[in-house]
Amino acid sequence: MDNTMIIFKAGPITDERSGLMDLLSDEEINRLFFDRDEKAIAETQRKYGAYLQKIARDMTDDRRDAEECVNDVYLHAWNSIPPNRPDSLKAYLTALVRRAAADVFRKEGRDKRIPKKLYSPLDELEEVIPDGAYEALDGRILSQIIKSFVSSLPERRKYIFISRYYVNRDVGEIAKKLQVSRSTVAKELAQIRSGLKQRLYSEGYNV
Amino acid sequence: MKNSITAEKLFDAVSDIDPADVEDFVRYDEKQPEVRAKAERPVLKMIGGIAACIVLFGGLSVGLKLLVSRTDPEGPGTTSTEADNTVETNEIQVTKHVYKNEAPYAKLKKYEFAPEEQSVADRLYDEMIKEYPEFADIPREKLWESLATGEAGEYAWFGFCIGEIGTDYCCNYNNFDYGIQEYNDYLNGWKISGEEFRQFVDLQLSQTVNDAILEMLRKNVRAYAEKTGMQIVRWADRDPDDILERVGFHYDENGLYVQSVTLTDPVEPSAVSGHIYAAVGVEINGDTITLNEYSASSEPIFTTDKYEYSFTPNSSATELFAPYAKPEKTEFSADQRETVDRAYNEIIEKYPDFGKIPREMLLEEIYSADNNTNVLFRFCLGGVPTQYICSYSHNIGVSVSNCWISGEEFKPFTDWQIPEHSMGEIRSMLAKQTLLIMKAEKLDTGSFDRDKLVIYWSVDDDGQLYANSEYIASVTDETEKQFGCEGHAHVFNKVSVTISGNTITLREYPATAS
Repeated sequence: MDNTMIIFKAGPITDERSGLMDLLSDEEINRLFFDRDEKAIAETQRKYGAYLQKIARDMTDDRRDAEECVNDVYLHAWNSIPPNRPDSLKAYLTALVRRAAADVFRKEGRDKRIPKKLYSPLDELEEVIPDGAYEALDGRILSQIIKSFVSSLPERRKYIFISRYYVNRDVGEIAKKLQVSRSTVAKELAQIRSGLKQRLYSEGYNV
Repeated sequence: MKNSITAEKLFDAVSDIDPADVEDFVRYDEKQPEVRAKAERPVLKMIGGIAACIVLFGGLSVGLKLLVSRTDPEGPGTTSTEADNTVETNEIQVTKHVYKNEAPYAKLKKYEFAPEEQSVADRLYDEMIKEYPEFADIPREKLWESLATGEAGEYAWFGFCIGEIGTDYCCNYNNFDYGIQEYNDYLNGWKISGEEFRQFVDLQLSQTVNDAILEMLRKNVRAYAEKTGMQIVRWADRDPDDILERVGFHYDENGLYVQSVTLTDPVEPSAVSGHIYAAVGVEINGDTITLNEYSASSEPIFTTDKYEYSFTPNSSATELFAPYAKPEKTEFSADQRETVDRAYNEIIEKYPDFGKIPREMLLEEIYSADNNTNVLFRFCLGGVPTQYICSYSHNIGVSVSNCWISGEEFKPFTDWQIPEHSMGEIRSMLAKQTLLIMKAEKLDTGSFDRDKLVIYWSVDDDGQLYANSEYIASVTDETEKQFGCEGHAHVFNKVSVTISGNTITLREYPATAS
């Protein structure tokens, strides 16, 4: 299958003011994937293309990398559905974007590193790691701690955490989404980080 | 960040969160409104140049909240509507258009410099590349360039454009000696902004899409003006279609979008605002471009305090640097001219600081009485005379001349050059507030004549500059309040004007009637 061809052929080109074709439900798109119908990619792009572009851009801070990410996402989706049948295609694709972004950063010969735009949220997270605990803190253990911590958060806090540290939205955008001020979001983020720090302490990372 | 390994470790750790939590995030995200236009202080961006401006309306900024309805780009069934006020004229509608981004691509129409100007532009371009090597990645044909040179220094502006439309990605050089240390310190050297546009430097914009964006902005501005009765300001020597100011691409948490503002004259009974904003959201997906056409509004559709710069690349350098408001020149006879010139030479010898003011900023007057020939030179700011006056008097009988000076509190402003557009903003603010109090006091708004608004400058004890206005408003049969003068009231108003760096800030105040 020529992925590139599929991606660029996808999507209706229309100049109509309204009346865009109805979008398929996630279940219908899943069915297309399961039927190995290439329309699955086109319909995914039509429904979630703009969203994926936006979060890919937030994660990579580069238009070309973002496009590459989104192309990878369609390919991963094609290769992984089936066997997977995601209840929320959007959430599934969001996770794929994150994975694709990591792949783009580490692509051989590209000398890619985490883009500087991501340093700001990562810097904030770094604050929660106790001084001197870096060496002791195995990456897999840190992943487990963060995973269980995020799962334990109430809905709104989980949303703020993932918005900031997973899809890399800036504080202003989160504030706009929640219709609160930036400082409110900043305060809640500080409280979330404080909770994570305590979790790390309780796990013994208090060197 | 300690190092890239730390960054990667943290990035990976966060990447492993439970997919169920990502689902919770998506669900919660879908419940939130997609776009929320702020009803805070509207922020305007003014044309670039020596006095690239941000105009902030504080004071009486109307606290309108916008009714926003937007079809989510992700699909049907996700239309979000946020209604927290009832101002019907501010309901913003969004219409989607999908285009193929294909050749022919829009090309910036560059200003053609004279050969001697071109060599200066080339030299400064080379200097800029040394200062910001990454700017060399931008083909020069995509840079809008403007230039001003003179004894006081050099100014250059290189702004990255997508198609024919400017962006916030600009590099400008300024070493003008403005005579004010703080100002000079701020300006001296290269400044860059809008680096988030780096990702777009290779982007070619289809001519069709470029034209569609501009036409959507114009169409929506006109529709809004018609709907509200607002009158779009007509500028002399401009094409009637040239109604968009500060058209520029911006890229922030709202994504990529083009926003413009159009100035309007306040007209009763809809004297609600002097501005119409229009915007088009731009989503690029491979070779497809989706334009989200926003209906126009009297409030900014997108607000951002991120940038200080914005420019309109379709202005020529001459237009950019020439439109500083200047006083009208008085026509003198040859004899009068000789007297005025002699007086000027004597004055600047005695008051060299006055001589630093460009003579084109001086209003010159001559009159004779009782054997005295008097010549006045009034420093004008934005074309409006200040009280900074140098007088010359020559008594023919005594054959001795005298010079004296007054109003030196305006001296700190002699380096300012206020663009005509900013003066237009000031006049609009003054007229708007004047009309509002006239309406409140049931004075005769029907005969309101903006040209009869008398405008003058003042400086308070703290050195703050104000543009003041006075208007004589007739009473009507319905006027209830007794005013000091019979048959009319004096309406006073002011706008504070602050220039910091290359930003002009205007603040409007409520008018008073007495």
